[in-house]
Amino acid sequence: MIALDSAQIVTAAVLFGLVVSSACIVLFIDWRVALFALLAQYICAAGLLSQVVALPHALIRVLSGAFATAILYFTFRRAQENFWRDLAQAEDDAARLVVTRSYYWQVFVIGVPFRVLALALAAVGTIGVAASITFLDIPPDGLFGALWLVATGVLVAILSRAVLRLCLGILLLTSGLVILEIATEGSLLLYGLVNIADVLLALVLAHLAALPAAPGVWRRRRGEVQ
Amino acid sequence: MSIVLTMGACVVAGIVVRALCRWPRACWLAAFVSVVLIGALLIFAPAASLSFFGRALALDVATRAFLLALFFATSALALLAPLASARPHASPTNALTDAHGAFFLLAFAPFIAAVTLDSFPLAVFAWAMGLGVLMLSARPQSEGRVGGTAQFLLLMVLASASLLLANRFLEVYPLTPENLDLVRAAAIFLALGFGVLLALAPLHFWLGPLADEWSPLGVAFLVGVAQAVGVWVLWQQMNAALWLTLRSPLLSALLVGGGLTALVGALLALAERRDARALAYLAMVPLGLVGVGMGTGAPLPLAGALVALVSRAWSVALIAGGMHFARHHPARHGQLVSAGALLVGGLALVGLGPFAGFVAYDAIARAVSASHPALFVVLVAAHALALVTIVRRAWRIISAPVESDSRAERVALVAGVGVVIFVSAMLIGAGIFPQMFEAMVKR
Repeated sequence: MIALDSAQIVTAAVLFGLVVSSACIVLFIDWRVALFALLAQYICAAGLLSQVVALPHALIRVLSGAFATAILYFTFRRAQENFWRDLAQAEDDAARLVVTRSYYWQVFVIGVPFRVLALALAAVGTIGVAASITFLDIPPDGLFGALWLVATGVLVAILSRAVLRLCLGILLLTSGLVILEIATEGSLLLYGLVNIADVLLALVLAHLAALPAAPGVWRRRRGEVQ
Repeated sequence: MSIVLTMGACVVAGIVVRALCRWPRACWLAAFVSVVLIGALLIFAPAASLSFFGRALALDVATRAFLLALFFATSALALLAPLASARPHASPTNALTDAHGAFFLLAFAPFIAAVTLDSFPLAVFAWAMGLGVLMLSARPQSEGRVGGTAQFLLLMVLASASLLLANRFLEVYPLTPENLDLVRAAAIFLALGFGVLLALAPLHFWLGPLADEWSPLGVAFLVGVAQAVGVWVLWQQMNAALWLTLRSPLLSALLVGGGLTALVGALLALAERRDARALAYLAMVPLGLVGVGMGTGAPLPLAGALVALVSRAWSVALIAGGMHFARHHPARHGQLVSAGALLVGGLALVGLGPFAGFVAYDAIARAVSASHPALFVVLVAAHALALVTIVRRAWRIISAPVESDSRAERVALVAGVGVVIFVSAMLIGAGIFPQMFEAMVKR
């Protein structure tokens, strides 16, 4: 029987947390579940980062993640309120069905079965790559965690129809890239700036999600509508 | 200290202009005062380097000249933006267009850091931050849906990560000089990162969807100023790692990518009806030339590439100004100014005399015609197609139906004409006296 020491158990738990939290963002449409999963992902990523930087520095990742999550929470809640308002204004059941469908179908471009399949392919690909290459002396567990976050981040970003869900994908992606970058570079200044960039990205994407669509007159003047 | 002060001034100016966007005249005045103050700060900032967390921010002669040239284009765009809501029945969304100058000024602050920092990773990071701030000026086509801007943010993260990883490979390589895989990996990551962010063909696919969500002024700032900062960062990195250019196919990639970018941009612009998209594609033509100039590796075409970059920023600003006027001032005078600005900007963009680009294009063309005649033919064809596009768009503006104008519109028109004349004069002046770029290309 293989004996595991406490460090290996912690690393395994962190990787398991990363896999589950990222998978939740891909699989569940509900924004509350996705936000909780994002926060859990930041905590697990900080656990993985603590192998290459000091624990207090790694916890900064949780702090910036909490800020980004808070920004997204308020934007998601506003979108939810808009949905309830549209639902209340719908005159009959058919209209209510259209509003509900448009709200839920707006999140991803494909359904759950295909997302499960895509996630399985991403998992196989990540395990294959992490097991077969070495990347600038990054430890295998760190490499797997980073590549998994990059893969699921790109997956969420590609499959998203809603800007806010795309934002979750981009934040997953940056989490993976931060682990790769800090494990190879080790610059604390860059690490701090990347954490600020996460908050900035969340702000910009929340701003884009909250903006109303460009009016028809703009599009006409742009030559799109003759 | 003055570099930080200049960046702070950009941020404050951006906030003030954004706050005043409901009052177009106050907004224009604030933008005018801001660009004068920031310009003065840039001119008189001390050259001594400033230490920042162990890194240095330095404003040497070349850097200052380059920043001033880019700030001139930024100023023109920021001053043209608040002229959108001069019409009495202008929609509230025009107030948002008026605020574009605020985002340009805000984004210019990290660009100053990107150009002056002595560290490649931090410069890339600052560049990406500037691009991120610029995304605030977008206007999505569908509420809450993923559009070109959101997709660009994703690409921006990927490209920045590629550049940071490339830098790491470059740092590690001298420790194991026999490992040529590191050089190849660094060249691939550099080409991928810069190729995406600079929209070099075939990595230009994001440019069209992004332009759909932006005004022509926003697109002009992105392609004229933001991309120029990126080319500067690339140039600095090529200077810092000269061995990379010798041991990797980076120069060949720039040559081929440059020719392809010019041709693809010209063809796409010719077929395009939408203003912002057409502008973005037109700007790919001189960008291709800049790539070719850098790809030759010779000093004279390299200097020409830098001058062409500045000329591109100014001429793109002028074309965007023309499109902006055509959109918001459909009276006869407005149309004439629009068509004039478009023509002058277009002629400068394709490098005809006596505009600034002529000297630069001449330097690059001489080198390329001798060493790569086929590439020279491609570049000439691309520029000829771009010229046809410009003339066709100017004719479309002239032949559009005319509306009557109000006094407020005429005042806005006069302010806009002032900016257009100033930019045109600079383009012609720099073409007649190319010595004014000497400080920039000396390095």
